[in-house]
Amino acid sequence: MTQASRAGRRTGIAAAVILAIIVGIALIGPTSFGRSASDSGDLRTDRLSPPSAAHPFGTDASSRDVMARVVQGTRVSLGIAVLSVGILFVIGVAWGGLSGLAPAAADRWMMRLVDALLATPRLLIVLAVVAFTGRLAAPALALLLGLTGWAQMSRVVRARVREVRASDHVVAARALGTPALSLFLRHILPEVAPTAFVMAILAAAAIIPLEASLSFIGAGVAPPTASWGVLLRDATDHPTDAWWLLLFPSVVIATTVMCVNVLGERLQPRDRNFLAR
Amino acid sequence: MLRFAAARARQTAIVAIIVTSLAFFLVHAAPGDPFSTIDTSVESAAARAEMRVRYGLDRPLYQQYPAMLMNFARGEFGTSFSQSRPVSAVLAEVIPDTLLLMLPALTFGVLLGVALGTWQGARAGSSADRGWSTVTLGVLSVPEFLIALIAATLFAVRLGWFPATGMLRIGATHSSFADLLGDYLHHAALPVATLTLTIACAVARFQRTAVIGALSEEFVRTARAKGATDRRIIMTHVLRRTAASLCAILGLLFPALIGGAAIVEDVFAWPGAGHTLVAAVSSRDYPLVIALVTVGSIAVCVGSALADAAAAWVSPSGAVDA
Repeated sequence: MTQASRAGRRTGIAAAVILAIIVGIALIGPTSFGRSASDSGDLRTDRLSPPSAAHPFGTDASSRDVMARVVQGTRVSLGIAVLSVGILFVIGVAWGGLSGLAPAAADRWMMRLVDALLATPRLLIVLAVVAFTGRLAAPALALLLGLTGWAQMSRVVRARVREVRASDHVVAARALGTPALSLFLRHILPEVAPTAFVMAILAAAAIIPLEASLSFIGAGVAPPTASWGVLLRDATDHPTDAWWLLLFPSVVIATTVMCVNVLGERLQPRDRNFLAR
Repeated sequence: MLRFAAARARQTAIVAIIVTSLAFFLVHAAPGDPFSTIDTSVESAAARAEMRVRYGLDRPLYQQYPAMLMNFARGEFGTSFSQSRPVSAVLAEVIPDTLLLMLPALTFGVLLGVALGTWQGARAGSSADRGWSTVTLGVLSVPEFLIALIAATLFAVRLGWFPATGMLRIGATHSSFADLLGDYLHHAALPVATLTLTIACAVARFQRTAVIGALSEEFVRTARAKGATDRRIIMTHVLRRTAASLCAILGLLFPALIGGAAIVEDVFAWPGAGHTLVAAVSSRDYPLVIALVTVGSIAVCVGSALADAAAAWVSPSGAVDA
């Protein structure tokens, strides 16, 4: 093992550990630290107070504890990310698998739809929906992000299915008369799965900033739910007098996305660069 | 080449139709409409019903959709609720301003990204390469709006070097073209730099991979055997080889780019399509939103098609895969 790849592995492990800590804190939730994300402190004395022992991340304009708000925001943002990645995973693998096994003509049309979806500016589509119906609840937003985000997954899965389909063991199983469904589930899917998982991680790395952007411009989750983007939106009201409102959510979101990206990159097989095809 | 162009144009049209239908049906699949949430104490049920009729929202979807497409094809986008004027007038005003932001950012971003990616690829695995890879990944891990926000807070609000919002001084009359240009550049610096940074980092990562791939190919060994210098190999052979994949990648980046640019515009209150879109969403100006989203989607389709055409054009093998 070369020195570079050993360093890379260490980075990957570090990313996984940091991510696990962030997810763990989000799962435990702010109340376990004896903090509440919604309770206001004394509005006269606790308003916009800088970080201190009592409030390590300071307080916001409504005297709420910023640390508790960040933890709460992490729950919401990661929850939406996990849910929408789950949705796009199922659709992407099903569509990509079907397309990979389908006859050439059907495959071409299925991939044409994927091309269209890949050319879709997702943020604009979500904005159109929000303009029409008003802000969405977190599960609805996750569904929308999932429904518009499975194209890359299905394209990569399809390519992998086409490869695996031609391999000896699949050809042998087919020759033995294995039905199509069990051929896919038992012989093809296990080999496609690692690729699909890496794509899922990369999809999460794209969805987290997307959701944050939507919430930031006020088109994300409906209030009173607060995701990371909402916290940053609040920070813009105090550009000069409360740096902690901007700093802490920024650091958490950047760290999380960076770790997800590093993890996706480390788990990616060396010989393929999914996005560069 | 002509056949390729025709095939690609047809494909782009199909993609554009799929994208706009997708937008249309997703919008209508969601419950409610722009008039269901208007304050019921002010607007009577009858007034809201009348609005639905006026905007054709009372008709079934299979009638609304072709009607919308026909109107769009004729350039009729309806009337903006919030600005009380034709949507086409708004579009004519904001699209040039968006181009004034996007074109410089795209140009600088691609140039910087190619330079960095090539430089990294030529010394892949070195500590400098790994350092820059961390930097580019780090930048791409921060949402664009956050970079914009930090840039605005630091360089506009704190240091006061650049204006935080707008494209030109409000109400200013410019004595000369140089004055106008200077004013524009002063305002454009931060938003263009923000977009340039993300574009450059994305491009650099792809370019690095492409250069590493190209360097391991036979033609590089041949060139080296003929005594070409490293510099010549990179500048002529490798760059020509990677140009095609670079164009293809740009096509893939467009959809995300246009969304990110919209939000960066909003952070800096740049008077372009993105800022207008965000404002239209919060005032629930449905005709304006649909028009802007459609124009944005078509711009992405056309951009991707141009990128593909460029990829085919620069491809050394001349292979054109319509």
